[in-house]
Parts: sequence; structure tokens; C-alpha cells
Amino acid sequence: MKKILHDIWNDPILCRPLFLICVFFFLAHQIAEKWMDIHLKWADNYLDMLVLMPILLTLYTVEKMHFRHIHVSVSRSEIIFLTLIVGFISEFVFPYFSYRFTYDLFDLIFLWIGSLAFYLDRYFLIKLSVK
Amino acid sequence: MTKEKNSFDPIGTNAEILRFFKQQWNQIIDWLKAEPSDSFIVRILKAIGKVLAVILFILLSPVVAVTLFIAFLLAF
Repeated sequence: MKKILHDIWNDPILCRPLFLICVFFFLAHQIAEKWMDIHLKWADNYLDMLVLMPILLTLYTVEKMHFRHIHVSVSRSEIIFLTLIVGFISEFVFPYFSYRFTYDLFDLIFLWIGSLAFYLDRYFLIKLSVK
Repeated sequence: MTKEKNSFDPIGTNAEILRFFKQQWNQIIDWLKAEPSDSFIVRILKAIGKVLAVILFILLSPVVAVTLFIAFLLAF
């Protein structure tokens, strides 16, 4: 377990600028919203959805590599299906359990923009590492 | 009147129903084995299997479950 944690800590995937920027914005927004009571309309509505997929897909890649020992990057179909599943759960399942969740088409658009950003990041990373 | 061998009786026992479905399943498998591997139906079934495997792989991921749970709690 200690070795796995050590490997995860030293994994370059977790040092990707996209992942770090998304984590920073997510934490900054949560602190501003919950603790400092600062509300920005656009950020409150869409920022979480925008940063969700790059964070989730990065963590999913880490899980795949270190816990399932599949040393292949996340495929295009995995990105598409994960986005579809997350979009379905967040927009159609969660509203049944809490009134705070409402269906919004822009949520889905920002979710897909986040996935596209992750895909492009992986694409250029692989392309540059091949060169 | 004698009952025809291997015929399906709709008001049969569970064992008979299971035997019927097993027989049908074996027939499908035999038919698929006889099909060439590059035929249309085999390629379609392989694609469906691949999609289901990816979905199952994602749904069984603890990271995805935990992240969605946290996302739900943060907005709850």
C-alpha cells in the first residue's frame, strides 16, 4: 500500500497543468462559496461542471494504472461513456433526490467542454512524448 | 397422443423452462460459431460487447462512485 501511494504521489499525470488548474479553481470556488460567502453567478452555476471531468478522468486514469494495473491511457470511448454516465446521473438522477439539482443544458455543455479539454491535453501529451 | 421430444410446454416446470432456454442458447452459440468472424452480425455483437465492457468497467470504478458522491454532497 505504501508503495502504491508513493507511486501515485510521484505520478506525472497528477502534475499536469490542466489537472492542477482545475483542482485549484474547484477548491478556490468551494472556499469562496461555502466559507467566505462570495457568490459569482456564473461560477456557482457552471464552474464545478467545467472542472469535474478533467479531475474525474485524471483520477480514473490513476486508478486504472495503479490499482487495476492497466498501463494504457484512458481511451476515447472511455472518455465519451464516462461523460455520458456522469451527465445522465448529474442531470437526470440527482434532481430526483434534491431540489438543489436542476436540469440545465449548459451544465451538459460545460461537462463536455471539460472532457474535450482533458482529451486534447492527453492527445498533445502523447503526441509530444512520441516526438 | 404422445408428446413430441424436446417440445416446449408453456405450462411446464421450472426445469423444463430452463432446459428450453438452454437449448435455445446452445442453438444461438452453435449458429454464431458457424458464422465467419468478419461477418456483419459478429462484428455488431463484438462492438456491443466492447461498449458494455467499457460501461461496466466505468460503473465498477470506486473513483467514479466516490467523486459523484462527493459532488452530490457538496450541492446537497
